[in-house]
Amino acid sequence: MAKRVAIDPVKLVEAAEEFAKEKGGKGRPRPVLLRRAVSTAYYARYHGLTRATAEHLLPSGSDEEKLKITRLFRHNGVKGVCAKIASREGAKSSPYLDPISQGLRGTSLFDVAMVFCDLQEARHKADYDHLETFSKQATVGLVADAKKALKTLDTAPSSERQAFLALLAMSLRS
Amino acid sequence: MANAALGEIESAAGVGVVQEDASLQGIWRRARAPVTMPRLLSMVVTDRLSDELRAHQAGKTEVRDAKVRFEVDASGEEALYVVLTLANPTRGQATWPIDDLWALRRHVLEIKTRLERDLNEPVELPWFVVFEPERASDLEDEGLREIIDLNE
Repeated sequence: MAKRVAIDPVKLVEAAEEFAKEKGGKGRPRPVLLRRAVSTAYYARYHGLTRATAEHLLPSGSDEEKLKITRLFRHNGVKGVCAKIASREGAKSSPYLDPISQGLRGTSLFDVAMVFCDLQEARHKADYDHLETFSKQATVGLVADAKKALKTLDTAPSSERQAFLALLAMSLRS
Repeated sequence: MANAALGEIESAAGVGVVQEDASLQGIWRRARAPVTMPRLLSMVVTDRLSDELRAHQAGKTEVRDAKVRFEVDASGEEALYVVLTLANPTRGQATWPIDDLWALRRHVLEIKTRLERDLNEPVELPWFVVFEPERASDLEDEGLREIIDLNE
């Protein structure tokens, strides 16, 4: 029986880096792999956030229980929370979430939320928009965004991290 | 540039003098019908936003051009895309310093927030930041049959 290997966000970033630096026969980047790099970088970020939130919700749970919790998240729910934190939603406000999300303004996790919004949008274009173009420079930038965002979440001050993950956990309500 | 925004609004509404900007003609042909009220109300802010971001700099990374475009986002809602064209990364570097990119995202928010306050026009659309190089490196053509010239 094959081993079960969980989706590791760090390994996904490594895969994205490999896709982005891969070159074709003429020594130029391959568009198909630049798209895969963008998509993989986004999933690294998504799984990084959901796994951290599961850990936050069930710190004494088994690995299997935490990994099962991650399946409850939805991409739009995570994006909605990140958009709220990063003020990417336009003029919408929430009397319940605003005090917590506004407390993250100016912190490194505010940047993490901004990166998530831009990465998800880029992922959607990479996977579905035939007419979108991806340059090598911008693609490597998005992969670096994902990598730095993973590290930033891990090293953020405890109080900010708790607030950020609590908001992400609330995305499970819908 | 406020005149340009006014011209854009007039064009969208089918009144006034259409701006003779060749780069906008194709967009107008496609976009005239779906102009929405949030978009119209955002135009003055977004027009000024582009102006203020041009020639901006974060760390060693220079913004060479800034555009704001309206498109449908991944969730099917109209959204605003702030597209920053950056001077190419330093020779030997595959991309720009990541701290500069994060700083640029913050600058966009700061300028947008200030303009919304000064102009009393909150932008009611989701928005995204996109970075582009001034000169993109050549890519493999992959031997595909469907290579589309986007400059047509």
